[in-house]
Amino acid sequence: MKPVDLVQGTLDLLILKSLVLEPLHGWAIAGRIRQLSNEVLLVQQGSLYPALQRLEHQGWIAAKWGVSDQKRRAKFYSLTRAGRKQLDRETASWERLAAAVTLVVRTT
Amino acid sequence: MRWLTMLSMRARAIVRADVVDRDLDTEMREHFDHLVDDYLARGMTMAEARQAARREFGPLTQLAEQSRDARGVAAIAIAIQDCKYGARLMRRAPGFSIAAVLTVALGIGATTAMFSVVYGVLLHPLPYGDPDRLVNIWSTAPSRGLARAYVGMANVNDWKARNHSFQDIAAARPIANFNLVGQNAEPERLFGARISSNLLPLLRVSPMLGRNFTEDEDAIGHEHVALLSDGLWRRRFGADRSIVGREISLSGMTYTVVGVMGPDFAFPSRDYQIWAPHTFDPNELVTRAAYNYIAVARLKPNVSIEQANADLASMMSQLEREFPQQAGVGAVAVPVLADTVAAVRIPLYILLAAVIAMLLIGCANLANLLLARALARQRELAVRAALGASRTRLVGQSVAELLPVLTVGGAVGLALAFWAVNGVVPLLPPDLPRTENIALNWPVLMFAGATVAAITVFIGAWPALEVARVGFPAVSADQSRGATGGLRRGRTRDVLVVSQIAATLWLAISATLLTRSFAELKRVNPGFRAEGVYSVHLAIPRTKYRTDRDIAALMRRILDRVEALPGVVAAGMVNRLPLAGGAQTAGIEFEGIDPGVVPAQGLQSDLRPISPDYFRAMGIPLVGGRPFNETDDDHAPPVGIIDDRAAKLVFRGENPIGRRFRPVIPGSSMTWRTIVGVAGHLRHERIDEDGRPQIYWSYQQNTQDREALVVRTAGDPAALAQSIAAAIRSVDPEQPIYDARTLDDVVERSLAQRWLQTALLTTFASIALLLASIGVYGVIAYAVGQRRREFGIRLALGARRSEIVGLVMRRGALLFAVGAAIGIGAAVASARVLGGLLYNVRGVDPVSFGVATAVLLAVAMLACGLPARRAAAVEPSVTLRTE
Repeated sequence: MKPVDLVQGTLDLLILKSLVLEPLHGWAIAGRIRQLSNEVLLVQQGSLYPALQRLEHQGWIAAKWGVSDQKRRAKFYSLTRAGRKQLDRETASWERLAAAVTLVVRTT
Repeated sequence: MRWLTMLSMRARAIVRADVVDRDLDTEMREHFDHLVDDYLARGMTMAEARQAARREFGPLTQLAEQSRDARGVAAIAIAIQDCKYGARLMRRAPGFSIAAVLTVALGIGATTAMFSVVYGVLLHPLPYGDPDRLVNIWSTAPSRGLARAYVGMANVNDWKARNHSFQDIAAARPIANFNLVGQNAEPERLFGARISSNLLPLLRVSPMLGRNFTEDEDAIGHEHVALLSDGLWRRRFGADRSIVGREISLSGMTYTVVGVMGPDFAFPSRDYQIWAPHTFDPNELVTRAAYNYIAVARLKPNVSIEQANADLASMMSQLEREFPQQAGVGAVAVPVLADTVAAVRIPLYILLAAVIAMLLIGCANLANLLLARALARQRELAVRAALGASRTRLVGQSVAELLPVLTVGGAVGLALAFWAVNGVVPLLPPDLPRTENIALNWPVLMFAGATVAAITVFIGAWPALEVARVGFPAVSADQSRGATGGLRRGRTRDVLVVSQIAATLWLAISATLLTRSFAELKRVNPGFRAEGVYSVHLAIPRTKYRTDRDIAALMRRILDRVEALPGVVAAGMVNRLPLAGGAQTAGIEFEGIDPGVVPAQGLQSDLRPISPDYFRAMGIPLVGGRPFNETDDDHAPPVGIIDDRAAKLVFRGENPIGRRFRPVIPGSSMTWRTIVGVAGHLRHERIDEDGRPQIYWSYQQNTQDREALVVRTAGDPAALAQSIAAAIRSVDPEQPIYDARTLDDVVERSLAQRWLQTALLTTFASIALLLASIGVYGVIAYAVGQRRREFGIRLALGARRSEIVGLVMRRGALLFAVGAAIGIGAAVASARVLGGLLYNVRGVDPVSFGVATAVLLAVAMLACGLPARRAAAVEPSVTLRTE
């Protein structure tokens, strides 16, 4: 199965979700999303960064410089408390949307 | 907490944009290298790995840009985009654009020009060092009817010796008649001043060329040195730098030029072109009677003007005890700038207020138009809001869309202001002080910029906020099919129109008041008949005509030649022409009159030596006795003529002919002179002030060297100008003449400032009236458009068309009533300020209030009437079907 490009507006949700367990750097976030979606969802590596900047500026994630497993300098992103709440909200609305779309797709 | 994070993030993104960018760059590069490592590990070559990584990662620079957008500081780029959209809108709606540009241009042009006058005349600092510490000192003598008078040298010296408030005090004496002769040019009379050698250091200025006067030159016998103004130096001496040290002939004496002042130097005003050292008769220190001088002082540091005045008051009361002849004389210090512009401050601020009111009225129209446009675009805005555009974004867009209109309007306005300042300043009344400072300088340009910014916010933000307030959900549900159009939606527009009516009414009332006052002034009988009279001033040099008898003989010869000219009815001479800005006064005592009627200092009167035919030339009636004749010379018994005002005040119905009077000179006694005639009283100083009585002397018994020649002619007085000048030159070719004008012109000029105020305010009010009528029409027409369906229903249900008209008119009348109430309130509140400018009209004048309100009501009702008729013409069947 070919990887699917992300639905517009869902990238934020996915990033927030990927950070629930532990702080990650950008490279790892992209990997985590691919891994969690069974290689279905492909994040354009680069388009990750505008999204990270946006989320950081919204105060939903916080960033700190650190060293990666590969001994490279990397910025580690973690979920803030506001970020967790936002994740809940986005999850809820996504579920509503997904249910609605499913309904529409099934009925026609 | 989150907003705090956001705020600090955003601030960092703006202030430390470079650091943030570098951070991001490092981060993305590390990630990129990760990818490369990954591909290398899969067995690719370095080149292949990099290419694959690049493919997967995407273009770095574009990503950096997107990330920058994500930081939320792309406002500037967005504003530029909005401006472009605004420019497109401008081209698409040329009618609106032209109206808007014109409104803004006229408003900005008029306000900027007016502010440049206010700034140049009232606010621009004097061209001296630390000018705020400079004061003029005046004598006051309320008991002698003098609120302000020049000072005496005795007092100047006393103050210098005794004061605790002033660093230094300088004295000056304006000299109206320096005759500059020679240099192969016509003899010329110059305004000059005698200034003490400490004046320039006190003002903290020095000559542009050459040197200041020395202290030694303040002494009689050493005073024949002169400083020239920049203007005189350029005009008369071709800006020749070798002028310093050269000799010039001034009033028949030889003066050595020691320096040239800079172009800014205008002491005491721009009319003065030459300065010489200040000398005075030492006897004045004994008599303490000559109050002929201007005093300028510099306050010591940390001394306030109030402290200085308290100091002066205590010195004057001390001097009053020491010298009885100083009884009733006080002194007052006034900051120089405030003193110079005291008379024009309020009129100029009123005009500025008027022009700003006019600008606001125009802007209200624009705001209304934009509001209508915004409401028409409500769906678009609603959709955009629904897609996530924030309210600030919408307001910002609304403002940015206006920028092209405002930029073009502002630029055209500045051009207009430039044209106005250059074209109008030379036409300003000559008695308006400091007009030489009027220019489009930085403070004025900043004012213009601030005005444009204020307009932008006023007319740009309002419509967007209104649309946002009305709410978007309402829009999608209600496709403005609402039967009555909604009350709330019209509220903002109503507020705008009500303010327009209020501001216009205030302007209209003020303009009517000034117009009525001016009409009253034109009706004033000044006491002489100006039409058909020509006037010329002469300054006769005493160095050439040494005795009074020589001068009187010269005057007689000139009068004879002028009287012989064809078309001349009568010619006379006087020392000071009425309404021409000069005065000479004295206290007069009358023989055998109770001191209760005339105070000890005498009756303050205008002192007028005249030639016999002066009354006939001026058209001043002789109400009793005889005029002077040529036999009233210095051998004959001293005689005088008083005016009917003095006759009434002093003799109270008794016949004054044969009674005697003399001027009060403390410490000496003048001879009594017999009253031989009574003349009509005239207004000497100002036409709006019924001032002092006049006392006349025969020119042979009191001969003065500064004379006005008045010539009554049979035809057009100006036609005789050349031959009168030729007649004078035929008597003495070196005799300069100046201020040659018809007497009508003299009278008119004395009213020039008032005329200008009235004309400007009336113009502003008329424009405001036009703008407000457009505003009322716009609002009512819009409301009618909104309610077409309602009117259709009403008509279908049996309403009469006149009732529909009534419905619309009622709305207009309501708006008018509210606006008028506010406008009248404002006019009443400002009546006290304006009242000071009025003659014979009260600030709260019912006629002016009534007329202005009626005119505005008529215009407003006309503006409502057109849409009302359209409302009544609604065809119910058509309207109901189309919607």
